[in-house]
Amino acid sequence: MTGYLSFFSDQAALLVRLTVGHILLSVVAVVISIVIAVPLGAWIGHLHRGSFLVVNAGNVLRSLPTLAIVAIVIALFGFGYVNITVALVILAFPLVLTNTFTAVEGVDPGTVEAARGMGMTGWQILTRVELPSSIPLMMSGIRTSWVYVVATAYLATFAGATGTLGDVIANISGYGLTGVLAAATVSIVLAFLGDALLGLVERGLTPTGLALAQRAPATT
Amino acid sequence: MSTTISGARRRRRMSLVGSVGLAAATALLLAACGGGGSGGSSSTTSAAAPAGGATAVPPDAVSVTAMTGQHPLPAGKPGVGKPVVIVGDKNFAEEFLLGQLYTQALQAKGYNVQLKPNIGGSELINTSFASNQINMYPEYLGEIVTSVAKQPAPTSASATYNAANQFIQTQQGTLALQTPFQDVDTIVTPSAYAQQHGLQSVGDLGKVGPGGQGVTVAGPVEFETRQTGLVGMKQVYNLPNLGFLPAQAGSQYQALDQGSAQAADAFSTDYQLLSNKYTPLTDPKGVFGYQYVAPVIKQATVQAQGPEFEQTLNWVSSLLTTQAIQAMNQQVQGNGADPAAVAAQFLNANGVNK
Repeated sequence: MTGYLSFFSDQAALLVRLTVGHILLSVVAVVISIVIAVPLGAWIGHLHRGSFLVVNAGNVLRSLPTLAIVAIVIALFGFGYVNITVALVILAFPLVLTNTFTAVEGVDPGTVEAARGMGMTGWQILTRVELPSSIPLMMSGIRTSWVYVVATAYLATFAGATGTLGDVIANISGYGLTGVLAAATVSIVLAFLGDALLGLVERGLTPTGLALAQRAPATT
Repeated sequence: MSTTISGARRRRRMSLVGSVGLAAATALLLAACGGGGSGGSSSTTSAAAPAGGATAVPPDAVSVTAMTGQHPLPAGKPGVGKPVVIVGDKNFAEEFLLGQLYTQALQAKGYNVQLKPNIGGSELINTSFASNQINMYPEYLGEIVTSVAKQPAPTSASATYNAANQFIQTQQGTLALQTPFQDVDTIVTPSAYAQQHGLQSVGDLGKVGPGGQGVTVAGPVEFETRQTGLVGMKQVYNLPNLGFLPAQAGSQYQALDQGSAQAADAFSTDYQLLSNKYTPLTDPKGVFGYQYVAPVIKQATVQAQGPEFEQTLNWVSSLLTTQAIQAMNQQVQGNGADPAAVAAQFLNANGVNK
C-alpha cells in the first residue's frame, strides 16, 4: 500500500506525462468518432431508413476485440499513433452512431409533424427540432464512448505508440503491481472526470424546454 | 530482479498468441509471406551445419557443452528394465520440442520415460522438480539462476552453468551438459541496414549516430525497463540515444519490415532468422545473459538409470545447434506442425534407431 502511494510521488513526472498523452489520444479518438458518427446517425435517423443496417453494423464493430484490431491495423497502417487512433475510433464510433440514430429516430412524431406544419424544411426540422431533442441520448452515447476509450487507450503500447498510461499498465515487470495499479487508478479517474465534464456539457446543451419537460413528470 | 521478466516473457510468448487468435493469424500470415522460402528444407540438412558466428559456444563454456560430433549415441537398448522416469516440459512451443526430443531419444534406447508436457513457467516446473513430481526437465540455465534462484545474472556462460548447477544440487539434482544453442534475447537488424552501417555487434549501433541516435529498437514493452534489455544496452554499450518502439513478441519483425524500427529484440532461436533478411548482432559484453539449455535431472535418477542415460541426453543436446532448433521452430511455430512429429523426424534423421 505504501508502495502504491509512493509511486504517485516517486514517478509523478512520468505519470503526468503519460496522463497528458493518454488524454490527448482519447480526446482525438472520441472527437473523430463524433465528427463521423453524429452526422451519419442524425441523417439516418431523420430519414427513418437503414436502421437495420446501422444497428447491426454497429454491433459487429463493437464486438471486435480492440487488441485484434490493433494487430490487423499494424498490417494496414503500421505501428504508431495512427494505428491506435483507428482502433479506438472503431471502438467509440458505433456507440455514438447508434445512440444518435436512436435518439433522432425516436423524436416524438407529433413534434416533427407540428414543425413540418409550421413550414420548416427537412434541414430545419433536423437542426432545430430533432437534434436538440436528441441531445440527452446522444450525449449518453458520447459519455459511454469516452469511458470505453479511456479504459482501452492503454493498448497504444501494443500498437507501437508510447506516451500513454499503457507504458506502465502493460509493463508489470518493469513497474511492479503497484505501478500498474497506480496507472490504472489514474485511468479510472480520467474516465470518471471526463464523464462528469461531458455531463455538464450535456446539461448546457439540452434545450430549456426539454429539460423542463424531463423534470415535469417527476413532480406530477 | 530484472530477469524474472525474461521468464515472464517466455511464458507470454505463447499465451498472448493464444489469446489473440486473430492477431496471431495476421502475424503468421505476414511472417509467412515475408520470411518463407527455407520452410521445406527441414532439420536434417541444417542439423549438420555449424552454428553461426553470432551464436558460437564461448570458449569458457566448451567444457560444459555437449559439442556437436563429440557425443556418440550409446549402442543397443541399455534402458530396458530400468525404473520409470517422468520428464516435464514448460509452457511454450520450443519447450514442447525439447521435451519430445529428450523423451523420444530415451524411449528409443529402451528407457521407460513418461512425458508431462506444458507444466508451466520456470518457477512452477522447478517446484514440480523439487517436490519429485518430475525426475527431469529441460531448462534454460539463465532462467534457473535469475528467475528461480533469484540470483543476479552471471557474466559468463560457464559461470551461468555453474551457478545453475549449484542451485540444482540443493534440490538433489544435477545438470547434464548444455546444448550448443541458446535461446537468448538478441538484437536483430535488417541485413541491408547492417551492411549499410557495418553492424556486427550491438555496440556498432553507435556507428549509425552518436550514442545510437537514429536507431529505434522494437521490443516487448517490458524490454524498455529491463536491465537485461534496453537499460543494459544503453549503459553497457554507451548508446543513450536509442529510441524504443513497443511491439509484441512476433510483431517486432513486422516493425523492421515496415521501417518503423531499425533494430528489434528477438529470440536467438526465432525461425525468422533462418532467412538472410535479418542479421543478429553479437552481444560480446553479455548484456542479455546466457540461456543455454541443459536437462535438469535428479541425482537418484542418474544413478538408477546408469551412464548410458546421460550419454543419450548428451547425444541429443550435441545435435541442437542454433540452426537445428530454428529449423524445428519453423516447422512447429511457423507451419503449425506437431512437436512430437518434428522431434521424431529430427531424431530419425540423425540415426537414433541405428
